[in-house]
Amino acid sequence: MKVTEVFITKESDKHTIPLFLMSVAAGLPVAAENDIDRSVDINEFVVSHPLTSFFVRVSGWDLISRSIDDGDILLVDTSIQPSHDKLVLVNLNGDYYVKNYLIVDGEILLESDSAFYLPLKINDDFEYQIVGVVTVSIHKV
Amino acid sequence: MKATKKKTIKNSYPFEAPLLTVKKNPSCNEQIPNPLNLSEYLTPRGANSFLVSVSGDSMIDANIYDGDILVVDAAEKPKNGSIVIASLNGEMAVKYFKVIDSKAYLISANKRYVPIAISEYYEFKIQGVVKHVIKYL
Repeated sequence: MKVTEVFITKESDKHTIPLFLMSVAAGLPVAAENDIDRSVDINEFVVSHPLTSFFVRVSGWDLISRSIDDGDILLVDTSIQPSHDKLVLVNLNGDYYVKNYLIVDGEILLESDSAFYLPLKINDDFEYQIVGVVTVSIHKV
Repeated sequence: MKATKKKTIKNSYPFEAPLLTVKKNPSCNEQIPNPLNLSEYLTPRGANSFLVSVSGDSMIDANIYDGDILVVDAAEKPKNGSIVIASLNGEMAVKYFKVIDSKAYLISANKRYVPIAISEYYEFKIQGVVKHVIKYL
């Protein structure tokens, strides 16, 4: 999945909106046992590390198995170390991509759903840099 | 892998057809100001917005999964086919809102659930239209 735009987060005033917890388990609406109503600041709610995070916008459908769609906005946290089966933002020879980070038999693989790309095995003659870990995705309905 | 030669290529007649460029997903043409102000982007109408946390599998075909957070605009009028937060006899649900032959239905995005036809016996109200889906990966 290729990155098309990079956004920086802007510090803004507190902006609280209500949060409801609900259950949509069945065809007919069912009461949620833990209906908690509270107000949250939307920035704090989405971005847990504002100083080390930024947004990227991605294009393509090759991470649809992780529910990431064409045009979605992803929050990238640069303070988190990548671990197995996490989505990462990676700089590969100058271009930015979002890939699934895998550790298989001690080797690092970068993969996506796309049948066009094989999982990428990372070795020393590869110019790459893991920028950060994708923690949140925002999809416009 | 073995290969056998089957046929040679012959140009017996020309075939011409227009080549259309595939339109990109319309959501991608949306311009987003940079730097991105998250609260302005997600909740442009401020106090009219609220968040819901959802559970269950009735909207999985719309890519809404258990644990996702929905940003809902209470001021927007639902269109036919909008994903809405509706209250039905006091309980809240997330469903597609559809009007078929001037009858309103709440439809799940999962074939295992049957559509709910809204009748006057229901206490029914649309609380808002779902604008964004937030997922913690």
